[in-house]
Amino acid sequence: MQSGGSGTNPAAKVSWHQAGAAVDINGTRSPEFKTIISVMKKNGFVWGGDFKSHKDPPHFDGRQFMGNLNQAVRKAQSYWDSTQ
Amino acid sequence: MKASRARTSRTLGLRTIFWIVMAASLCTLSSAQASSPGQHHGNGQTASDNSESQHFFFGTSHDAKLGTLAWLFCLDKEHHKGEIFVPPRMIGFSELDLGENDGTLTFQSLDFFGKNYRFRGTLKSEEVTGEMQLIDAKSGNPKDKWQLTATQLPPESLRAERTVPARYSNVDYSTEGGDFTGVDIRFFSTGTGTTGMIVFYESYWGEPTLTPLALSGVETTKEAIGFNVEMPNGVARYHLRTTATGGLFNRDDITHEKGEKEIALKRSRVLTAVLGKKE
Repeated sequence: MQSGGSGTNPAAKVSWHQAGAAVDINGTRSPEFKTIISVMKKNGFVWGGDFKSHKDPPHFDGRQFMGNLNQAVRKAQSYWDSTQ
Repeated sequence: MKASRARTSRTLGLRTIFWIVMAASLCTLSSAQASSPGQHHGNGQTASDNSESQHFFFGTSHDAKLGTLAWLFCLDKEHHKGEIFVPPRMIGFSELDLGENDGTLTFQSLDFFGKNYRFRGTLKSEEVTGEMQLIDAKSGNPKDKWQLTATQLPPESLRAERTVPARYSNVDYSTEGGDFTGVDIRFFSTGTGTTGMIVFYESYWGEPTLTPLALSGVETTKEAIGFNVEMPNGVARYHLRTTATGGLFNRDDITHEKGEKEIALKRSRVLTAVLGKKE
């Protein structure tokens, strides 16, 4: 998993990675990835595989949490707790 | 009422300061973004310029965390410059010293993301050996180092007119996500066989991303190209079933889900071109 994003194309203005709100998860063809997509989407993350153009399957971002960071942290904590 | 007005005024003031700070941050971020994928660093020369005086070298190193790394760089003695492949592009050298008589070779790349590569070694009989260091540009201290052995690629190795040598790629850039996706595979002929490198911009099966990894055991048949990639958790085997326009890529040493499609890659004519640059 990389939280910084590939970020090697600075043609983008400001990415969700630069905003600290996105992760790329490795193994997009692994059998577990479908579960990861399902869990992340259920918890409100936007999946790059749903982008209209230029799909980005490893990408997940919490753009809708950006207005409420506490909510994002609580959601992440709640998910983490549920996996323990 | 007065208190309420004062509060509103304070809130507006704080909001104004917040937006000024945000705007300044955005400007800083934008100016830090050096180039688009089609642009080049440094001396402005691309890998395809001065092709007659450029000599490409392909080498490997062992890395305990990542596997067998691949290095692609070019030296241009005539114009006293060079470039090294740092995904997704070739970047120029800030220093190049080719010892005239003793065969010593030192070079340093331009900075990328606060780092650069520095090489110290020798160039003898078309073979480069020495130590490559990854340098923290700010402190000048090495962050990592590898022993590197590279050989000069024959010019015909760079002409991608057949199945091999050739470049197969589905690399794309997602503006919305801010990531490169896909995979880029380049096969080179060495005169004694076929070698090459693979860069996963998107890790399909857990491979390290944005790292050129060396191919080994390349086997070419009429229908497919098979190859190994050594990674820390073992050797992975892949194949590329050739098609009219490119190849269908998949990993062989794992079980696939029923109905999983192979990954379509397009064959490209220019092996050394930067990604995103029109051929």
